[in-house]
Amino acid sequence: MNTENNNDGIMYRAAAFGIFIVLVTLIILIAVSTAKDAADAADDRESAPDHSGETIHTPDTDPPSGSDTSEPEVTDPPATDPPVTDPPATDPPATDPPVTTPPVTDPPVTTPPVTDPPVTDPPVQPPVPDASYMEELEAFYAKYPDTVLKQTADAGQAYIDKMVFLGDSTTYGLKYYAMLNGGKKTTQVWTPESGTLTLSQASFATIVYPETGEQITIEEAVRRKKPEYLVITLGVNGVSFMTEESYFKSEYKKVIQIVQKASPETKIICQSIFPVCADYKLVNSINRDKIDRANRWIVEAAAECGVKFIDTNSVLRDAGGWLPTKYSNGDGIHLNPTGFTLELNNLRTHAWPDQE
Amino acid sequence: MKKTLSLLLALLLCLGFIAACGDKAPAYRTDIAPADLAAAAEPSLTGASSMTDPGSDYIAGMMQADLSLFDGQIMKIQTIGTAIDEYGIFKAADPEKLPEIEALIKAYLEGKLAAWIPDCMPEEEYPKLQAASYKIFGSYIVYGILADTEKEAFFAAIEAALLEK
Repeated sequence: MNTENNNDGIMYRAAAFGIFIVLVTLIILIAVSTAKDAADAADDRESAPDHSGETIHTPDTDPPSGSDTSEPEVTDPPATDPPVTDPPATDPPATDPPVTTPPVTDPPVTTPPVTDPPVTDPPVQPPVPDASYMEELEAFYAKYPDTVLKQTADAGQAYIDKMVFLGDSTTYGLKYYAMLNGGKKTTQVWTPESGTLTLSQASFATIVYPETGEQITIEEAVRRKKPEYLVITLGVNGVSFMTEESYFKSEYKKVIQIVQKASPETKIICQSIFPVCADYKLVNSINRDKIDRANRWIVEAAAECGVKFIDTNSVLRDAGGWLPTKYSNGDGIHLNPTGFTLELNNLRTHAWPDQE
Repeated sequence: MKKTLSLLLALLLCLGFIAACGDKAPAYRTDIAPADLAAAAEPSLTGASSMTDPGSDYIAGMMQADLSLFDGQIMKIQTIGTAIDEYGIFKAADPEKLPEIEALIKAYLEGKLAAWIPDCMPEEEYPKLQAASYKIFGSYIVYGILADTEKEAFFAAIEAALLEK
């Protein structure tokens, strides 16, 4: 990071200039004084040794005891050029913050094109999460019986077709892999053009409105479309730095409230943040513990806003709490078609109460 | 002669230091609201028209800043397209608090860099974040996550506005 304080620069320059002037003056005065004294001394002596090319150092008027004043000390002539004093740089040296992320030269993750149609009723078996973890989680969910969606009969593809999915790059895969009605041209996915949607910016960020290709705010998109169901999957980009519960929840609630205001009839389902793989390269920033903590904040935010929550994290995590690599597209954070199938099946089997 | 010389040198030295200490910093104005400064400098940014002010909640949350530190602030973030352009202008309520504000901004920029997710973010934008910088103009601190040329022009426009009589 480069920084510059324009208030300090002028002070440094002035100080350096003052010191430079003093040094130059000192040298000139010493030279003049020495030459004058030498001339005086030469006049006083009847005979002087030949010191051509040398400057005669005049002894002090009050020489220290024991010094020999009869033999003048020969010294080098003073330098005629003033000392070079580089002015201090106006800009302090750049202080780039330490880069904690991998270099940008990392090759982008290339996901294979999907040729198979989406599979919505596959024999895909979800991983088995840790039993004690699930027990503890169920106890937590029990405190929010009206918020956490419970297991239901399969609500079918028609239920999924009524949904719009709002989220970040973890949601974009639904379109990329053609997992929804309309395939890669589905109008059910709302994500920004940049691909990512950080929770802290979700309340003012824009998404690409599929029907027109315009980039509009979430509020505007909801107002236009008034989706019957809106599935919000946000937060994975925030867990690394939105570590304050109140901040995370307030930003999440802000998004919910924007939707509620723009389309009061829309049924909002807040989906848990998906797990990441244990070998995810940014696992220090985005990891199981941070995601688990944030997911509980999402439950609370949903409850406080009177909307629903669906736990898809538990469907995608193994006994260690991580996303199995077979459900990832290879980068450790995004799902592949099998992972998305698990997500969609989970939505179908944890349907909104009136869809049971 | 030596004593005279020493006295003269001492006198010159003192004069030099007095001159150095007495020299004024550029007389930056202190009466311009950050929003007005932003308006003055935004013509130097090509994408300014689609930048959004996230509001004080965002600043308080993301910077974990006590807003009373500021006698006005504005932040603008690009919300259209894939650019991550962003700037902020903060006016210190108390000049003595400038170092505290500076520390907040530095931590904010470092945090953004640390939170960058290569797989999700537009790769070509990363250099802007790596080169993010800030400048101090009197009571104002201005940061920019912008392309180099735009950032220089933006800082220059801010400085020009603050030096206007």
